[in-house]
Amino acid sequence: MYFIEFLHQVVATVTPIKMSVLFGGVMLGIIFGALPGLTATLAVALLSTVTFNLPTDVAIIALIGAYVGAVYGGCQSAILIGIPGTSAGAASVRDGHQLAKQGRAGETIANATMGSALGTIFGLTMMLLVMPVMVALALQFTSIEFFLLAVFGVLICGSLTSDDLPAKGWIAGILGLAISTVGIETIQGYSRFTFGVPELAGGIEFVPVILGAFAIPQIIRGLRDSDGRLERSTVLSKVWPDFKFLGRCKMLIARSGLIGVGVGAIPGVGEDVAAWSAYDATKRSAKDPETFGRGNMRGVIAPEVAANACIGGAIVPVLTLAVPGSPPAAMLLGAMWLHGLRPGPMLAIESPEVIPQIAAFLFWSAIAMAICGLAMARLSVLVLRLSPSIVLPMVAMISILGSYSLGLNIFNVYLMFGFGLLAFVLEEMEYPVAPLVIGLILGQMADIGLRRALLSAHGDVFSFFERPLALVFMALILYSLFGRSRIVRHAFGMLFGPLRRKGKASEV
Amino acid sequence: MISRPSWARALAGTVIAFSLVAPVHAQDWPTRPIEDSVWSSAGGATDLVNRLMAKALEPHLGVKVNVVNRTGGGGAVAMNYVWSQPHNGNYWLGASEGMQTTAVMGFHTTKTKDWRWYMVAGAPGSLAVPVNSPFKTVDDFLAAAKASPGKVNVSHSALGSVWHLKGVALANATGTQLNLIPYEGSAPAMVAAMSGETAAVISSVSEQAEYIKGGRLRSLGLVEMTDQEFPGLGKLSGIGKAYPKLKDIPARQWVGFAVPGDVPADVVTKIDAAFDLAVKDPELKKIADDKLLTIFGTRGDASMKELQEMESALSWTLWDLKVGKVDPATLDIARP
Repeated sequence: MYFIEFLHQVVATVTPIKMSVLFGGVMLGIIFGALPGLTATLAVALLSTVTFNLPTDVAIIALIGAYVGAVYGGCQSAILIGIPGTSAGAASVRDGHQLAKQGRAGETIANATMGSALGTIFGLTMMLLVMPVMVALALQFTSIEFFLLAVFGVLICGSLTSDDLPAKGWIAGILGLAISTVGIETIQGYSRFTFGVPELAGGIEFVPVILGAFAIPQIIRGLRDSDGRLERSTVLSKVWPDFKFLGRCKMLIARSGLIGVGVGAIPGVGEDVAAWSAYDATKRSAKDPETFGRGNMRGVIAPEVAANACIGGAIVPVLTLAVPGSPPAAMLLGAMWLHGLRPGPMLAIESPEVIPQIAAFLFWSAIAMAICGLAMARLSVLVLRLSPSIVLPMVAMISILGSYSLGLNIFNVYLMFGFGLLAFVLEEMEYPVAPLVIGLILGQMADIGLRRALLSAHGDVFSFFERPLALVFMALILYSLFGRSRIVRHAFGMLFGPLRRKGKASEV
Repeated sequence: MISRPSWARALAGTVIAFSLVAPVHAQDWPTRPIEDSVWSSAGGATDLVNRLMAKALEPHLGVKVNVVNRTGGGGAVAMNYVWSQPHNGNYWLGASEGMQTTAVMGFHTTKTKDWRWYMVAGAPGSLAVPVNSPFKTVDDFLAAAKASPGKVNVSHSALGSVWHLKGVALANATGTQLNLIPYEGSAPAMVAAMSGETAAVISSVSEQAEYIKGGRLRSLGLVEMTDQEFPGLGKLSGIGKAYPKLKDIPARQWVGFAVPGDVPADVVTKIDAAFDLAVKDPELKKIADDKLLTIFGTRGDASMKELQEMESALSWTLWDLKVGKVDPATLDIARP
């Protein structure tokens, strides 16, 4: 039912103002994405304050353009200098930079660009297909489901982002949950951990935490390793995609797209996880897994498709539940609130035009991204030649401005520095920072959700087990906690192994 | 040749610098843009009305009125900021009825009497149920609440907010025990009623209008003393007519702005004059009608009297509910 309206909006979006704003947003996004330390979240955050006085649809188109551009832009620096511009581009470094060193930088960038564009379009198609189902499902979400969803989001993010032990990710996630308890809580109005400081009464704002956690460690590391001798590939060759090769990758693109949308739809897990999961899946199913990491083009296309398909997925919970699917989507949600839109279960009823409109914005963003990406590849080589001693101070400056501009509160700048140092220490000990940020964002939902659920059930815990959606989330949580454990796998094998054999026997 | 700055030079410099920033005489006010710090986030009613008022006031004041959102601490961040600036009429607080409880909640040290209030608009509260609810009338609802005390869930916006207090007032006036459950705002509170988590929701008619028109919610009546007619919704009856004790807690939603009470009198005169003209602005009226907001245009002694009564009633109610943090007696707020 959304498709006709979507096609209508695709045409309606072609106005000179919207198109120029879109291209501007996409270009800014690509630049932010390509520069290490400037993230998609930051691009959307900064633009949301700049576009405040614009009409709503023009502002949203700029933000979506920047979001799509920034998620893609990370691959340019990933391929050219081997430093991902965003966490989403990290998976593209492994093979992309190898290919660039072999003198195939132009072709790799072009293929990655096409992959990202296809991924974005795949994501928005899935978004249109899934949205009506999600809207119907949205009113099934009561407080207990929100609590379980929040716990699941933190757990899954923790286990996917830590390199060695999932427990390290969970520890970071629990730290985030703990930080989220600061402030006056909603149910009884009790001040928790505010120590009489009025600025803490409203709780810890997550934007300065995001800025601090992702920018400050980058700056400190940049200062520490400031030899400035980054290995760069500045030979581009031709910048044109190999369509024949892309045609042969149909299955890979579909699979990576599905992974991207699925990961995106999970609240709080973002583009980076999507990229890594798709990379992992592609490598596992390849006939030649040993060539991955040494310059396999499929190893670039898979994460790029997934990262951009993730956008469509991440926007689904934003629009239907007002729950962000990834950190930049969280900023997008905030920006929509700023413009008087009320994403949530009622959006489809209140403002039915918004969903197909956003899909149309995504569609044009993908087109604009493909054009700008191919055109800017040569330019980005020049920009990336700038030494870190010029780029990093700019990153610091922008982070300070970004923190201050939200609420015009100098306290947020201190918060940013504090959390930046904390994030640096955590990362040095190889704890992932992402779960901490997700824990902070979802903490309120978990805490208040559980207590409110108990309040409305008059303290009856067992009534939660009568709710089908709650049971699904409980199963998912148990799986994400124990799915990797050998004992559980063994037990499952013991339980279902004989059944399966019996089943087969009876068929015969 | 550059000479070393001497004592005399430094002194002369300081004198010049001071003469440049010397206070402008009040009769020249306003000479520079006014900054209106809204305590709540962009998109809400307080923000919307302040932005509309800023536009409407500019031609009458002759300077720009810049609206900024200084959110956090239940209003403390904005109040702290405005209170710590010079009290010269250039710094305004984008305010709402939430400011009448900041003292008892311990958010800020100032009370209602320390400010000068300009009440622009507001909307009455309504008790609404999901469309498929078994409750067809207020009496159905109250009968169920009496049959199982404390078991009928009612959602409302944040603790201590006007809709929370309306819920308390409703329960007290009707002699029922309602299970009042706070949400972050009116939007999630209404979603809770629609998803069946709560049996009913109390929020403003303005906020409910779209859901009522969209066939998701049904209003049982206004949690007010009188009936009121709304375009597109028809006439809604006031629950207070049958339960007059509802007026014991005189909570009323309002949005507008405030300046510190000790702003010079001639500046206040100018703000008052501009305010009286601006509340008649057609653009403001159009959007207010659209959002089902009633324009008040109350200021000075009238708003002070109403808001002090409200402060006293709300503060003691919150203190008795153990939601309030500071004893109203120590704040010199008389028990109503």
